[in-house]
Amino acid sequence: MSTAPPSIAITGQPLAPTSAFIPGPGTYASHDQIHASLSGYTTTIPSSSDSNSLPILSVVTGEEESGEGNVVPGEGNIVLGRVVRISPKQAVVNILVVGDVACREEFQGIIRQQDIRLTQTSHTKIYSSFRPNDIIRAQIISLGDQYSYFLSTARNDLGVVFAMCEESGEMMYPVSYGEMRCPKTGVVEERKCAKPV
Amino acid sequence: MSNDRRRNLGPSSSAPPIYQKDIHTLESQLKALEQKDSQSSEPQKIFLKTSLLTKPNGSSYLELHVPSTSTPTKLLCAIYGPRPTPRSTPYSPTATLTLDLSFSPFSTRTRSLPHLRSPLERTCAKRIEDSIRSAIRAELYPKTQIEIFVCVLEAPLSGDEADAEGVWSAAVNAVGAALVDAGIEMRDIPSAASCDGLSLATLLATGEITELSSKGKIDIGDWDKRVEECLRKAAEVRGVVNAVLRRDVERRREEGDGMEF
Repeated sequence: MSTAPPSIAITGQPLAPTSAFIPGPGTYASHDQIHASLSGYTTTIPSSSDSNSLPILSVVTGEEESGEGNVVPGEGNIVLGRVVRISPKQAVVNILVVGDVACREEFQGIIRQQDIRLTQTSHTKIYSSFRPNDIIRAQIISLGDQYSYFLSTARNDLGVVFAMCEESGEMMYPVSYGEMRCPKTGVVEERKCAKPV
Repeated sequence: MSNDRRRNLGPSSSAPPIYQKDIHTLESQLKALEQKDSQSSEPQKIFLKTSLLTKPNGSSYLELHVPSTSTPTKLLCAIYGPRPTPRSTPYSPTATLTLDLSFSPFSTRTRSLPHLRSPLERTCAKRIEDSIRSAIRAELYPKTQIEIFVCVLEAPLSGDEADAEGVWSAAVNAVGAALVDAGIEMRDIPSAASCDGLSLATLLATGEITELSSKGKIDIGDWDKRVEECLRKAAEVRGVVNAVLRRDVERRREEGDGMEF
């Protein structure tokens, strides 16, 4: 008896027994059967670790590749956001991109003073780390409260990605982990920079 | 002859009209219609199209023609979501569902004026929401809201009903297809049908009936038969929904060049 799942799946359709696959994104398991919860194409990913693990079965709609699709911020996701306003204790951020997918509508996030850097967290000044309109890369550490998600930039590769110089309006480039320079005026402004890839 | 020019009196030998015979004719006509309905020999005609609106996340248009009624039911459904909830909404670990149903002014036999949602619209909306709620995997979308809008373009109603079985059951099918079009994960696509005053909504993959309502007198012996009939009709609609969605998936692949599947 072949346990190969069908190539096209419609929501609710039983795909394969749970003895043959692990349910991945776009599927769910119920009574020893894996059912599709999206309509699209099935994909199987062989398990990476050991050969004892079952392959993962998921359903994709095809929208994910185009950068669209439903995306909801979750814990651990790396996001891109724009700083909206800053206060002495926190910076408010509009989340624009979650992972590789752009949000249709912006979600709100907060970076608290203690989550900006790994070291010397109580001495961090928000004004020296972010300014309004900076584009930052951050990680979601919690779903937060009814108003915002909680973000963190406490990693080398997280922090300000794009920032505009206050005087000239040109885009600045990072010179160190804490400074950015404007190519036109040469002015150096303090930011918590993300390490360039 | 009276000299009273202010009144127009009928002839003195007139008699009131006789309705007795008409009542009996009406009753026998209704009985004949009911029997025709329960035979259900002709299948219902269905047209379904998804992704017709560009702005909402998902949309669907459904036309349902039950042979015994003269007017088809035409509905449009649009889905926005999952989108961020407004700041005033309390924290919710699952997606918040809102469903709004409106009858367009030209949808019923009597033209209706623009109005705030009538009791009929609210009842229908509540029924549809109850039917689909358990199907959506809301736990995957915390702190978001899914907004569903149903616009009834035409319905076999006279306009002053208190209940509209055919409308809410048709709407459940349209909403199910639109939710799939929006890419919202669900346990199954809800299907619904109505038959002789009984209407139900079901998740056919799991065999659950999520909403059931009946109107009028039904003999206990007829109950099972009507439920079976409704389930059969729901399965018919589900067959059409499946075929349309399958075609959508294939068309998406053709339009997206270079995607490896």
